Amino acid sequence: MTIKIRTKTEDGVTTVSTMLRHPMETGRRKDEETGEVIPIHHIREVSCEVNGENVMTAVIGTGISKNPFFSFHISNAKVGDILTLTWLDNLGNTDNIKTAIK
Amino acid sequence: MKTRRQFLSTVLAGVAFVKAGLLFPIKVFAEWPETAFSIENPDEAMAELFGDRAIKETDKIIIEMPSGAENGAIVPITIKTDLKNVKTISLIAEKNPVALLAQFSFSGIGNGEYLRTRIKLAKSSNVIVVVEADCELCTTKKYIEVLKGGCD
Repeated sequence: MTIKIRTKTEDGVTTVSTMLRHPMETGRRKDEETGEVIPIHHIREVSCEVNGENVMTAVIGTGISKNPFFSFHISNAKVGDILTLTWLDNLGNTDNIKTAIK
Repeated sequence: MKTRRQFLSTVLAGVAFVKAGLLFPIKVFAEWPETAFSIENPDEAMAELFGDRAIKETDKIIIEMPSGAENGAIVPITIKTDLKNVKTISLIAEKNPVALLAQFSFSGIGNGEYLRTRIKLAKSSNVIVVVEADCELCTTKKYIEVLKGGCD
């Protein structure tokens, strides 16, 4: 599992914080030993749903730091609602997580 | 010439990625804007994203970011806005090899009033935020000193 996620609901606003484990290689970095350029490898899309309805989608590039971190708000979700978060990278790798909103 | 340990670590990393999901995408949520993510010049990137729509300066977007970053590879940034009905928030670095960092879209009960992430910055420069909301397109920017560039 490459996704860590935390949710906290207070006064009708849920703060979602998530960290995705991913190298986010820019395609410009050189391997220190071989001198070869490490191929570009980065998350392209992140999508978040609550009870099956999309709340946030992000298209991201190599300018987002390694092990991407995102925190954002959802309004009027209920504690216990099911949140899913999915990422997709440029090589077609993907992962997702499902959690109950706290 | 890779050591055996490095070779194994690369293979294991590859296996971990294959295990993490399918090799082929099961779905694409949004069309990844390939052209926008290939542009170096920030004005051209904004033209690609927003066409010739007017973008107004606003004080209703607050960028929280350190005034100086020792390591440009991990710069925390928080965006807060009073603007209503935020549809998208776009983050642009003035002097990165690729100007567009990310674009976040909000729908349903998603609320674009607050966003926090970590970005890479190549050099001391402005970070530009464009918010699409009831105001149409509004923007602000903030300058940051970067000691060690984080974009390679």
